[in-house]
Amino acid sequence: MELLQNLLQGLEITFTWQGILAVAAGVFIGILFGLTPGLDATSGVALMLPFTYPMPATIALLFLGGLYCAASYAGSITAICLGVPGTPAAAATALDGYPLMKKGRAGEALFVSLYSSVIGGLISTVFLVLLMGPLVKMALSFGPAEYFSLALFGLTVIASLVGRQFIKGFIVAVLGLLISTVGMDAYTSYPRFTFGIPELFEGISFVPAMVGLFAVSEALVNLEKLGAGRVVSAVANRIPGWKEIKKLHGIILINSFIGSFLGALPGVGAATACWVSYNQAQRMSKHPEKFGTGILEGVAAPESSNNATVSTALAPLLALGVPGSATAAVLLGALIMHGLQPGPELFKKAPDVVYALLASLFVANIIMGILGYFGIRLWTSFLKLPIGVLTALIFGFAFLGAFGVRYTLIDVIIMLAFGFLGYILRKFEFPLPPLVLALVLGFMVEDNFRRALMISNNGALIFVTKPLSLVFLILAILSLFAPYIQTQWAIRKARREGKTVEEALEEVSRMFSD
Amino acid sequence: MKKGTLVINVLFIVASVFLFIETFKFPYFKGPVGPAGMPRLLIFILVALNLISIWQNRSLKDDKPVKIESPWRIIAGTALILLYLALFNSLGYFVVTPLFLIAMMFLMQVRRPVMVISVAVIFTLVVYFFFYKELMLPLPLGLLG
Repeated sequence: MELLQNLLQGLEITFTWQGILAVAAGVFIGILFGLTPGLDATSGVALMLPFTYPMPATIALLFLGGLYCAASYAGSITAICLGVPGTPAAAATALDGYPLMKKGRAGEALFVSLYSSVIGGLISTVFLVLLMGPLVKMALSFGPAEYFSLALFGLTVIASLVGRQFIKGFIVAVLGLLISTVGMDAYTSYPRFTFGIPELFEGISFVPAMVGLFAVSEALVNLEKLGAGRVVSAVANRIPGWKEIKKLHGIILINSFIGSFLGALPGVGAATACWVSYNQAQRMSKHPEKFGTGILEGVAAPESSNNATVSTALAPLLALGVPGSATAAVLLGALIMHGLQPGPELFKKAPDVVYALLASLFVANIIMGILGYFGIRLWTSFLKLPIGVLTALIFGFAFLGAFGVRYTLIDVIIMLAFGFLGYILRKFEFPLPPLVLALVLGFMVEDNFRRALMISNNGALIFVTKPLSLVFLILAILSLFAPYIQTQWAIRKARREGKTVEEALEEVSRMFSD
Repeated sequence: MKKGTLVINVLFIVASVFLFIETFKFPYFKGPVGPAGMPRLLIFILVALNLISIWQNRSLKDDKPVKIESPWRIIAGTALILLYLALFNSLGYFVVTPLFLIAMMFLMQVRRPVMVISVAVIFTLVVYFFFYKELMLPLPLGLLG
């Protein structure tokens, strides 16, 4: 009952004009980010983050929540219209969406993708609300040892989920942790690795680092490659017959559950969920051979699933302070910027903010449905904007946002440094999500490690004598070896099916290109 | 052997050694883990991971060597960004920003003058009225001040 009451209060906050405006603006901007190839929910939230600084914390989160939600959907518009996914999460959607477009059924595909996304998002939000209570209860029993092991687990999972290049995932994760040690040490106040630059004493600020890593590095990639001009024909919505939609409900429901489950796991995001669901739908189908030729099931499955990861990915972030995806890691940066430390304390200190965010996700999905449907001409016309204009605007917003954090150029320089770092890492195929997760978790890892050892009577044994901590450590070790096992599996399966090893490895890395 | 990855691995190891030496400046701390503890542990792991990566790299084919497709555009873009930073305070935000945007779009081969100029002007005007006037973001005025 208390939960319902809290949610109703959250809805009350959402249904003020500022609340609705924030959610709608978030959804609007989120759709634009989602449909631009190369930009996604993570870079969208990162780039817009500094602009939420003057807003009250609640309004800022409503805005960013709407953005996250809509950006995870809108990649499918590009996938259907151009055959190129607008975000990694829509990669599977292109397989059937684009052939549908070529058959002249783009309108139906667009409607089904929107419809599935909204239902997936709503179901996932229900799960998020139900998960919150038990997770917070668990988190209340956590001490430093548990937090250290949990953060370590979160990191190893995300670093191991990068397919066959997993050693690179671990390298960037450790790099991120190392960067997070820059600045004043919490116990001795000694400025570590600051090289006499006073602006670094407080540490590397998250916001410019994230804007650089995700937005500026993408702009630099664009600058180098110059995408070809795109040709998009105007597309209008066409609602498929009710009979056809009804046939899709089973697929949408199952995959909303799959997506919600995968989203709640640390590290597994929308980009993985869309493939899992696509493969699942194909396996369960009575006509699996039709997948890939342009059928609505092939759009409904990944689209319900990828949006279903959004809300549940916030569960570990809000309750434990450990983000479940790269976008959630950036949102953690947003919470900290607004003076809120996620975790069980947050529910005591700022329950209004948390419940407003939970309630607003229901509203965001509805608004996404409305804007997605009626704005379709606008969205497809946006796809015609030259890449040069977009890139210039990314730079413009990135400069402005980084400067706005502390009104100094040093943040702009930090942003650019991270932009070039991100660009180089991308060129050499190092994944970025583990880096950003490590950056935001770094303090938590070191601080809890040291605190646990200080209160421990028997040294490092504290990490294995506390049962929950032990569980997280075992899971962390398992995820360390998971990529190796998975690669071996794929190779064996490929040999059985007569495929080459290279093909099999391609498949593994495709699934985890988040 | 993927040459690009090898270069990155070596760079990581060199940087690690440099940072490791730096940790000897950190003060002594009476407790189980001092300020240098975590950084040193991380540096060890980083070096180990890069050595593993180099070891794995031996048997890999360099089928897609990393190359920059149009190096001059990256160089010109970088120069533009540095110029923007250098002139940010002296000329002022509202002078350099539209010029930067126009130059950047030109560099990226947008050849529609009306579009280029209107994007640059509208962006700058929105920043002026919304961020500078309304939200009072203290952007440097430079020449206009």
